[in-house]
Amino acid sequence: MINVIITTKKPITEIIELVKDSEKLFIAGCGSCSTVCLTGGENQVSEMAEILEGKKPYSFQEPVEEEYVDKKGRTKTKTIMVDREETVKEPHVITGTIVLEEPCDRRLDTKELPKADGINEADAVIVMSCGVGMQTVYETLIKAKERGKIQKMPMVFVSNDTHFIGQTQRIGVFTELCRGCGDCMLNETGGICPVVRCGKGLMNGPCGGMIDGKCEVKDYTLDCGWALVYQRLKLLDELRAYEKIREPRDYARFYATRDVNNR
Amino acid sequence: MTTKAYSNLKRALNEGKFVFTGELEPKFSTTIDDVIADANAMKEYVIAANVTDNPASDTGFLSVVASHLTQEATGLEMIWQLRCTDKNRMALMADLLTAPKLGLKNVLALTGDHPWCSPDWRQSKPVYDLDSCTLIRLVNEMVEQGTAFGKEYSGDRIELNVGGAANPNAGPLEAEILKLKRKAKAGCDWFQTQVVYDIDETLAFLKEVNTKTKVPTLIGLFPMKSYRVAKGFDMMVPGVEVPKDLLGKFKAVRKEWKNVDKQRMKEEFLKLNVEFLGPFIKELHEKRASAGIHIMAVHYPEAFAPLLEYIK
Repeated sequence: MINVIITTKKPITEIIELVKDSEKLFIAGCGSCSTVCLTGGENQVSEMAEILEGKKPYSFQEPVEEEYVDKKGRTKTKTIMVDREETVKEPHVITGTIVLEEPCDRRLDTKELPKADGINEADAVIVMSCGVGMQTVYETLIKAKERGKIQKMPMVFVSNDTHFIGQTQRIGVFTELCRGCGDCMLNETGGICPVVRCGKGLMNGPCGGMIDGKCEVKDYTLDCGWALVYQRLKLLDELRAYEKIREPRDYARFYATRDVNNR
Repeated sequence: MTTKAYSNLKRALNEGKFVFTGELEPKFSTTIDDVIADANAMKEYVIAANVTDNPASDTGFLSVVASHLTQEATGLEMIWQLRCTDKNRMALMADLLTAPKLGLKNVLALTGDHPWCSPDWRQSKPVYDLDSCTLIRLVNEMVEQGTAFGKEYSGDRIELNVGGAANPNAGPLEAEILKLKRKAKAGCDWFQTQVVYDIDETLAFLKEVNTKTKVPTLIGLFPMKSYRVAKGFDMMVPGVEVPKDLLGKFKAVRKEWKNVDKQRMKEEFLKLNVEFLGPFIKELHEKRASAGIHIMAVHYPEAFAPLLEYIK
């Protein structure tokens, strides 16, 4: 499986609220990363359509105040989350759906999206992809409207939260290993990235929060990145590299939007 | 390690004196009267006292200003703690440029706890533009070269000695030792350690640090004011385990005296601290195993006299 941009679904209740004033909806999925993540493939697109058409109930959690009796016999209340199932009250019309091959590719979107069935009738488009996919679809539709390829400009919403560039553990389970910082130091650290794996992103770790090889961030449930670097370099008999003082990072590399031109 | 001494602390370390330092913790408050009172109470026992900088990511009165005001008010030399969690290199340099005007001679350069550790500010954005190692190096550059990251500053030259933290409870320990070597290379004048309880482990740690870095090391000890403090420390501070029998004795004292005689309870707690920490201090002192001891008696200055009496 490929390394992918990892996404998770926003709560369905949030999507329902977002599109409540848009009667006619078009749904665009992603045939690449979000398919792998189970957040924007064929199945998720049709499930989203059925829910919004009111053909399928959706489940969500709701906070409920519950009374209980404490150790001293006093009646108190606490908030608990209860599973609920509901169907949308005012069903939408789904004008069309598409799973774009790579919604993050402007060329593919420009080719496929304006001629997709139902795009012209839509009041809103739900993009089931990462943030890059959503922005590319948005730009493409604005351009298509300007050039008269579509008649009206719909609202555009994204249904996912975008997290990281991930390593696939198994289907639907991913680990962040790269933050795309543009200044790779893996060759110096035995192939362990401190930018991601160190809770503080330190260049000269570990900090004093390394206890039994675990990190103070997230309550010692995660490995300390600099303990991992240490173990890897020890394995390679390269611990001398651990003693090196590394320069502070050049954050000028990260300002504003980064462009890459490898041509 | 620089040999030049600007502070009384560094001078004493250069002379090979066994030193004691204390710890002051400005609160989330607009006043530091309590800090000044504690400093006054401990000044006859310690050569200098640390002033914490948002410890455990719990915000308090600004360390650099608290250090200056307390030093002015008491005459006790301060060790201004400065951490990288909250400030980027611009803010750190700006702080360091104030040192000559504020009369500060010691700074303890820390990476700093992550906001995740904070009781209140977990959502805060951490900085970590520099880390303890590059901060130590920056201080030394500003002191020795009159420049910061190569840029010359004007006015009086900064005269600061710079220390770093060491954690004997860290693991894997070799990774910690290698990091301390890095700090030594960056010009660290002394180490102050996290709190320890086990004398044998402490001696083993000191042997490692002394052979690998030659940086004078002050061992952190924590007199515990009450059972609640001891229990909280045991639970909250990772890697630190208060010995079970010691904790048990604190509990027993509380049980016996809490509802009978509060003053007596305080005396009994103090007695337990002296019984446990006294021999610890004595052993380090007699063997000269460490360069000194950092007594973290925060809000507990009455612990100094009986503890130091023990080694006389």
